[in-house]
Amino acid sequence: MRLHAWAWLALSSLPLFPLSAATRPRYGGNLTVELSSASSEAIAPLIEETLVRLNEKGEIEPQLAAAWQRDPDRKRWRFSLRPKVVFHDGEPLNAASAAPSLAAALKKKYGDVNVTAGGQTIVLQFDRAVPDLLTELASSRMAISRPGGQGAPNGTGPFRVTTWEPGHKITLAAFEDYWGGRPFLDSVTVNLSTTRAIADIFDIPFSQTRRVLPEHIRIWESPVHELIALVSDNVQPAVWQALALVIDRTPIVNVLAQRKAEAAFGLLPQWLSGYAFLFAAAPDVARAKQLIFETRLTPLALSYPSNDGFVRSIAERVALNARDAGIAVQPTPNPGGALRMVRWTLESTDAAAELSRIGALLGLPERPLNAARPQELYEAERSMLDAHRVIPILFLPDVYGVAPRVHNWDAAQKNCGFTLHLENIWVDP
Amino acid sequence: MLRVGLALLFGTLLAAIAQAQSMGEAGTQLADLIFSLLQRRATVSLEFQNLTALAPAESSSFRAALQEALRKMGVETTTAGQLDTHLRVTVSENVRGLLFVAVISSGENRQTAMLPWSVPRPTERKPRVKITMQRMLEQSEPVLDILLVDSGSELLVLSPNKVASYRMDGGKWTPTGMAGVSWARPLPRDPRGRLENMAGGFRVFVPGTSCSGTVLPDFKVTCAPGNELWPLNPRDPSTMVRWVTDKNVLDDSANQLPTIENPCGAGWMMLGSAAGDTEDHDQIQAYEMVDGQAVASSDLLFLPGPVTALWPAETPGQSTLVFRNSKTGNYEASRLGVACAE
Repeated sequence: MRLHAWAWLALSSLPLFPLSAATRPRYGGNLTVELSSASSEAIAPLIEETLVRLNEKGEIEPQLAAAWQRDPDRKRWRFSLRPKVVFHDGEPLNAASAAPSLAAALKKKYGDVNVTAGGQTIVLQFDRAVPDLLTELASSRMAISRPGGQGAPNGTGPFRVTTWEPGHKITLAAFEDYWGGRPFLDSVTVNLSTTRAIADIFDIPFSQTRRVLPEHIRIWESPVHELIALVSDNVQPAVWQALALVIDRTPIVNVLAQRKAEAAFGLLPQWLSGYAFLFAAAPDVARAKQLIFETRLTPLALSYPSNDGFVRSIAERVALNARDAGIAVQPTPNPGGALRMVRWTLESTDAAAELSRIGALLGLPERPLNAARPQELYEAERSMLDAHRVIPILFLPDVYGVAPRVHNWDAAQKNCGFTLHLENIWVDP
Repeated sequence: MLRVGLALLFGTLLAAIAQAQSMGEAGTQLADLIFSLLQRRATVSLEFQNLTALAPAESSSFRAALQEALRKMGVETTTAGQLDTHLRVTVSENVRGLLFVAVISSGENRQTAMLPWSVPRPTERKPRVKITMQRMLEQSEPVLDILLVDSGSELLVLSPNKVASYRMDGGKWTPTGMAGVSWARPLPRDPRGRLENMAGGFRVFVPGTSCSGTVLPDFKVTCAPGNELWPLNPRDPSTMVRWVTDKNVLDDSANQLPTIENPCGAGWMMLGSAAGDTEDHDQIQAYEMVDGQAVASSDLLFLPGPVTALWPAETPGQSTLVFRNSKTGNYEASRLGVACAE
C-alpha cells in the first residue's frame, strides 16, 4: 500500500506541485468485473481466506493464523487463530467455527488427518510427516468458511456476498468489519460467462485477443503462469524425443498467442525458477529424423479439449511440425489419444510446491524439494523432462483490460497468487 | 528487533560500495562452485550473459571478482571460443532474488552450478545534506507513530495492536513496557494513528477510537469509541482534525498544514513524500512556499521503501517518518530534520 496522506494533506492545496506524488486512495464506488469463465474461482479469495498465504517471493505469511508451530517430525501442527476476526454473518472466528470447513478440505488430501479445536487453537495431527503442509494450507482449496445462505460462501474476506448466482452474476459489498481494514471499494459486481468488455475490469481470453477494445482501456498482463504442454505415457522414447525436437514454438508465440505468451521449454517459467533458460533449444528436424530413422511409426492421435479453440490451434501446429520429421499426428477433440494437450495453471509462487504438483500430475515419484535450493529444483525438473512424459510448449499470462478509473491495479495484483485482488484498489467516481 | 542509529543519511555512495562488495562476494562464491566441478587447473573459454536489470557496474564487479577468484585457483579464462572446456555464466533472477548460473561444457558433458543471491536494489542516490535523518527503531510490525516523552529519555511506539515503551539505556532503546490496546472498530486497511503528549500521560488517536495512557506509575492505555478532535501539529494546536470513521481520511479542516520549522528563514517548511522510480521506493523532499508556490528546497532523500507515516513531531524542528523497507519488510521509524546548507 502506497499511502502518503500527510504529504498529500500538506501539498494538495498548493498550485503547480512540482513532484508527481502518489495518488491518495479514495473510498467508495462500485467496480464492475467481467470474466469469460463461468467459474468464480478468481474472486474466491475476496470472500474466503486461508490460515496462511504465500507472498510474491513464495514465502509463507500469516493470514487467519497468527502463529503456528510444528513438532520435529512434521506430523503435529498447532495453529493459533488471529483474534478479533469475524465471518460475514457476524460469527467470531475461533477454532470451533473454523475447524469444520478446514477438516473437510484437509480430509480430501490427507485421509489420516485428525483436527482438534479448542479456543483459538487448532491442532492438526497426521500419521505421516507433512513437510509441505503450509504451502497446501495457502491454497484456496483450504479456505475457511461457514455455511451461508442460498449456497453463497460465508467467509472472513474483505468482501461479503450480496448476490450469488453461480455461473452468471455475483455481487459483493465491502465488509466493514474486515480484520485487515475495510476495502476502499464499496461494492463489486462480477458478471460471469461474458466477454462484452464493457466493465471496469475484464479478462481477455487468448482466443479473443484480436477483438476491438474500448478506447483508453489499458491492457494488463500477469506473469505467465499457465503451462500448455503435450503429455503422454505410452509413446516410444525415440518418437517422444523426436517430437520434442521438432516443435517450433516461435510461430505459436508470435502468431497464435500474438506475442503475449512465452515459449516453454521447462515446466516452471523463468520468473519463478530463474533457470528456465537452460532448457531452451532450437528446433532440430534433422536430429529428430535421425532418432526415428529405424523406428516403426504408427499415427498418433493428439487429444485436445473440445471447447478450447486456442489449444486446438496449437495442436494443429504441433501436428504440422511432427509431419516435417515424418511423424503422423492427428489432432482430435476426442479423449483417449496417445498424446494429450493439457493446460496446467500455477497455483502459487512456491517453485518447489509447483514442481511437486506437476510431478504428481505426471504420475512421477514424489521427492522433497526446497524452493531455496534452485540447483536441486533444476535437477528435479531436468529428470522430470527426461522421463519422457511431458513436452512444455507455451506459458500464458492472464490478460485483463483495465479502465482508466481503476487505480492501484498493478500494485494490488503484485503481491499474491494469481487471483484477483480488489481489496486495495480504488476507483474514480 | 530494535536498532538505534545516530544520524544516518541515505546515499548511493555507500550503497554502491556495499553492492559492489556484495557482487564481488558473489563472484568469489560462484568461482568456488565452478572449481569444485572442474577439480583441476585449466583454461576455459568464458561466455557471460546478464538476463536481469542489474546495473553494468555491478555486473562488471561480479565478473571481475569471478575471473580473479578463478585465476587464483589456477583457472584461466579467455573469450576465445575454441577451447575444450567452455564456461557460460549467466546472471539470472527468480522470485527470490538474483541467481548466478554457471554451465561448464566439455564435449557431451555438461555440469551446472547455481548460486542464489540477495542484494539491496540500486536505487538510492546521494543527496546533498539538507534533510537529516535519525533512525530511531525498526520492527516487523507496522509503526503508526512514535513519541518522545520524559525529556526524550523515553520513547513510545504505536503499533496496530499495542503501545510499547522504550528507555534509552547505554545508547540503546530498551523495551520497558507494553500495553495492548483494543480498538473500538477494526483498523482501516492502511492503518495510521497518532500519539500526542498530554499532561500526566499521552493520547492515542486512531480512526474510530481515542485512547489515553500513562507511563507512570503504571504503563497502561484505556480506549473508547470516538472520533475526537486532535491537533495535527503538536506545536500548533489551532489546527484540529479528526478521522472519518473506518477510513483513513481526515476531515476537511486539514489543509495547508506546516510540518517543520524552517531553519533558514521564517515560517514553515513542508516535507513531501512521493513515489520513486519503482513501486517499492519513495522519496522525501523539503518545500518552501515562494510567491504562493511550493518550491523544492532540498535534494531528494531516497528511501528503500514506501512511506507509511510522515507526521510533525513533538520536538521542534523534527518530523516523524516511518517507511516500510522493501528489502527487509520491516518498518523503520526515524526523525527527520532540516539543516541549513553551508
